[in-house]
Formats: sequence, C-alpha cells, structure tokens
Amino acid sequence: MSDPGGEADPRRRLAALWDDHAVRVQAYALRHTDPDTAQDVVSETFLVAWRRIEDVPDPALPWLLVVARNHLRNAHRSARRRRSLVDELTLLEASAPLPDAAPESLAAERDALLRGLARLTAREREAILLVAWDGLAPAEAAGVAECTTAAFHVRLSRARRRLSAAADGRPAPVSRGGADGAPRHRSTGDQSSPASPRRSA
Amino acid sequence: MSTDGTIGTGAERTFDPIDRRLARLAPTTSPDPDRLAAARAALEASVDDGGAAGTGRSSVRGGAHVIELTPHGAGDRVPPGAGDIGSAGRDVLRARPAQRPRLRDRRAALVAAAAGGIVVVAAAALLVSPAGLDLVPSSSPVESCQDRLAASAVPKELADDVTWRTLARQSSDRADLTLLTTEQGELSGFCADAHPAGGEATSTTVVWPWGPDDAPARDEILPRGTVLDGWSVLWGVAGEDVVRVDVSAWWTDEGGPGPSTSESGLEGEARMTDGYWSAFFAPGEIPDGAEVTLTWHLADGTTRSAPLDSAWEDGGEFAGARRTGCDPDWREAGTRPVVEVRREDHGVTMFVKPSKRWFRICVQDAEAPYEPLVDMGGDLPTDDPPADGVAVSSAGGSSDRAGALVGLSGEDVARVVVTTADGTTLDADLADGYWVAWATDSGRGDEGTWTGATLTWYDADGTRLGTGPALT
Repeated sequence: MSDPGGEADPRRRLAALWDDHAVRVQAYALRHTDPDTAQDVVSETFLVAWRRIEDVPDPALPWLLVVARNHLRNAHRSARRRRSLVDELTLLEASAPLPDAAPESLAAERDALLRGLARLTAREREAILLVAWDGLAPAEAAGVAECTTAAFHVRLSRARRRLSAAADGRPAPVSRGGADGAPRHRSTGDQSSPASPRRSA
Repeated sequence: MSTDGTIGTGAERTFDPIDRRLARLAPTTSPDPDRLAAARAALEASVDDGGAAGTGRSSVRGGAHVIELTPHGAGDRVPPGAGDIGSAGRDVLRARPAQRPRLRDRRAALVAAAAGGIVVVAAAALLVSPAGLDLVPSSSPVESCQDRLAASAVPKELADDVTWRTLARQSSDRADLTLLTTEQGELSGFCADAHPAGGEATSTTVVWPWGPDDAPARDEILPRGTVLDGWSVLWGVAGEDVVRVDVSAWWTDEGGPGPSTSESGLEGEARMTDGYWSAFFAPGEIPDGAEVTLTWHLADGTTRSAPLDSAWEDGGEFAGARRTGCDPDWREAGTRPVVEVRREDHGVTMFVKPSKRWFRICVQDAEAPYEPLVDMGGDLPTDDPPADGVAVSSAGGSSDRAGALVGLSGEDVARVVVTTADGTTLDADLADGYWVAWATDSGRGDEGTWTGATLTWYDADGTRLGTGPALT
C-alpha cells in the first residue's frame, strides 16, 4: 500500500491486523457462506477496520469476527434458507482443507470430525469452532455468537458432548427429557422399569 | 501484509479433549489463497482511493469484487465500545427477538402460579397430605417450614435438638419460598407456600432426609438438591474460591403450526449463602426437557460450567458427586465404575474392584443428592469372568423403592434379559462384562422379588445363547 496521506501508523496497524487475522476471518466467512461472498466479507471487514482503526481493540479478532458476522448477515438476508447437512459439510471442508502432506490418520480424523460438526446445530457448531479453531475465550466467543457467556457455555458444552459422541461413533449423550438421544450405555428398550412419578396432585 | 496468508493456530486456550482434536484441523494457512489475495487487493485499492483512516468512507474498489457499503447499515454495525463484546452481544440479542433465542433474565420477581393441592415430597417420593391447611400454621414462613420438615423427618424426641439454618428465603405476592438445612447438612428441605390472587393457597414441602458425605474442592460446586417441577429449587454447596453461581436453562419450543421450532432460555444468578448456592423457580419457568446448566465464577476470574446431567456422563463434572452418593470410597485405588446408566428420574451405578473380587451397586435418584434407593455390595463369583457366551447372576436385592439383580457375562453376550416370576421382563444394562437389571417402583419391597426369576442372554445378532434360573 502507498502512503499518500501520511497515515503510516494506521496503515501499519491495518497491515498488522491483516497479517494476524485475515486468514482467520476468511476461514470464519467460509464456514458460513460461499467462496465469492466470503471474499467480499473479508474485504469489507478490513475496510471497516480501516475506517475505525482507532476503535479496533486488542485483541482484535473477536471485534473483526463481529464485523464479519454482520456482513454475512447482510449478505444472506435476501437469500435465507436452511442449509442441508451436505451444504454444511461442504462449507466446513472448504474452510479447513486438509494439508497436502497430512497423514492418513489425520484425514480419517478430519472426516469424522467434520461429519460430526455438520450434524450439530448451527449454534453448537459456531460455539465449538470459535473456541477450537479461532482460539477465542468463551467470553469473547459469546460476543461473536451474540449470546451471554453463560449461554455460550451451554452451547459449547452441548457441542463438545455431541461432537465427541458423533466422532467416536457413540450414541448422543442423554439429556433430561430424552431430547438429545439415547443414554451413553445401551438403552434397555421396552423393558419395564417404571420410574416413580415425581409429583402428582 | 503477508502474501502467503499464514497464521498461527489460535487454539492455545482450549482444554477439552475434543477441542484439541478439532484444533489439529484449524486452518493455519488461507483455505483459498487466490480469493484472499483478491480481497487484499480490493482492500488496498479502497484504502488508496479513499484517503485517511477513520473517515467513515465506504465502498471497496479494485480487485475482483466491488461492494457498496451502506455507511450506517447493519453490515457496518460494530458493538459500541467494541471491547465490551459480551454486553454488546446482549444488546443485539434483545434487538432481534424474532431471530434469537428468547432469553429471560429472572433476577427480578418470580412469575406464574402454583398448582392446586397440598403435597409433601419425602425425598423423591410423593405423599399427598390429607391434613389440609393446618400444615401451614400462622407463624412466619421460616418457622412454618421448620415445623413441617421436623414433623416429616425428625423423630419427636429429637426435634428440639435440631438447629436449622436458612439458606434462602424469598417472598412475593405469589408465594413464600424457604430453603433450610440442619447444621450438619444431614437433613434439608424446601417449602413453598403459594397464595395466588383469587386462588387456593397451597403448601409444598420437599425433604431431603439424606446428605452425601462429600465436600466440594475449593474451585468446585456440588448440587445437593433438585426439584424441577411445580415450585422448584436448585441448590448445593460451593468451594471457597467460588464467588458466584449462575443457573441457565435452555429448551426447544415446538409451538405453532408448521415445522418451525425456536430455542428459549432462562438465566439467573443464584444466591450465595455461606458456602451454599440456591435458586428458586416458579411453576412452568423451567419446562420439562430443558437442559439446565450451572456456571460458577472463581475468585481468580475464571469460569467453569457443567450441565446438571453431567452427573451421568463418564468424566462429567458432577459424576463424582453421583458416585460418592453410591459409595464414598469409590476413589480408592483399584475401584472402577463399570455400569452407569440414567433412565428418567433414576439411575444405576456399579463399581467393581477386580483385585478383591468385590462389587457395589446402587439404584439412585438421578438428581442431587443422588440418594441410593437400594444398594448392595459383595463378592464377585469365583468364575469371573464366565465362559464365553454365558451369563450368570451374582446377587439380587430390593428395598421398598427399587430392586436390582447383578451379574456377569462372558464374551459374545450382548444382551441379558431377566424375567421375574410375575412375567415382568427387565433388559439389563450391560458393560464390560457386568450387568445390572433394575427397576424402581413401590411394589418390589419383598425379599422374594427375584425368586423364580430367569435369565436369558443373547449375542449381538439377537441369537439366544442360553437361559436359566436367575439365582440358584
């Protein structure tokens, strides 16, 4: 970049932001949209950073991801639709390609984890990837995910349990009320083990 | 700006095993270098074209894509202050109720009305009192609660010796709620005296006549009591370093025509009282099926979180509390849990110590304080493990609330079914060569529960491998 206006410091700051975070912002965008839109989102996100260079906090990544999230929302507002499991898997594969020299074991692990990720709810997937891939602390990630820290912990906890179960080929963990699937151990099927009613009038 | 788009992994803060596995896949170089270069070119062209930073100019030019920014549009919206990401997120949440989970901050007053009737719950069992309103004397709610707890759980000759501590109390125009425990924590109780406007006054008493023999570590909390229907309470103990406990619940709403669902949630800060935490909830505030999570904040600024259901997960945060409820010595070297299964309001825990050919098994309340309804211990049979394709029973027992039959199985046995003399079939929970058939109801209090029962066992394909008497 040239420096026509004597803005060396802001430009250095922008350059540093790009160096440090552009890949992460691009990967985040690719998790949520097609490659062309992701490219636009990256440009727009860093343009906002340029225009508000004095406001960009340190660490900057959570702030940048919030800007990217808002751009993604705008881009999708006119074409909102439910993505299929295949769509999600495609996005995940695009955002985390397997390195050329990756060992076979990592390829198998990647396949299992990405398939497990694709089966999570969007909120759960976002929660665990903001932490595991983007390296955000839960409080930072909660801001990107637009929820409170406590709510984020709930989503993260669910995501971890469900992904662990899916990646290892186990049934999903039990949830009170049975909403999340079968118990960790083999279910007892139709045998009779009546539970005492907890309350009646 | 670098041109290769490399970056270090940002996963250093993650600790959960699944996070570490995922972090190995985190992109460390650009997933799409060509488009990243194009994005950079577009940005540089715009910066070069657009002048100084901080001007609020819009419009990216150059590169492969040109997008017109709306200067004050949603795409340009950054949380005010930007450093306070968390609070900004909440603001956005409230501004978009149709798109976000409905989150209720319930640090204000309780809502909703109580159901009718007067009920007394002793442990997890329900007793409906015919005594009517005389259970609610004209004393203070705390005194009334003390009297009721003592009447239901303390022998008369000892009543004067019991000293109660009030852990929490809350009064509203709908109800008076009181949570009490004794000095030693061996007896606790919750009282809800509801007086809805224009409705019938009701009184609910929950008694926990049993307390586990454990204490939290400095940075831990442990649940001690859970009632999640009607007037409800969650409470427990907290270690010295815990400064705050939050309770949150999330559930899925399936209402309305069509396939749409929405996620709803509730959060609240628990009271902290001298090493105890507690939170009250009105009827309906936490619907059945909600996932309840506890988040606790430590003095050093760190936060931990775990769902209540983690008590029944191997390695779950509260699994230790549940195991201690069955056997306070389960952490002894050589002891290991083998069967741990929750089914609705109850669950079963089985430990073995193979070196001493010993086992212990409990059928427990699924929720804190994980009181055992029936527990058994004893020697494992000498033919442990049994021959391949063979299942044998080892011991059976029952109380007035539950019964259990335990045994072992050899290789290839994938399913064990117990059929009692009255024809009831129980599909055993089987793990690692040990199995437990169990049931909870009030009709199994006789010693002969397992007399005449038979075992049938199958392989993974469903082929019957054998059958025989349960206890010989």
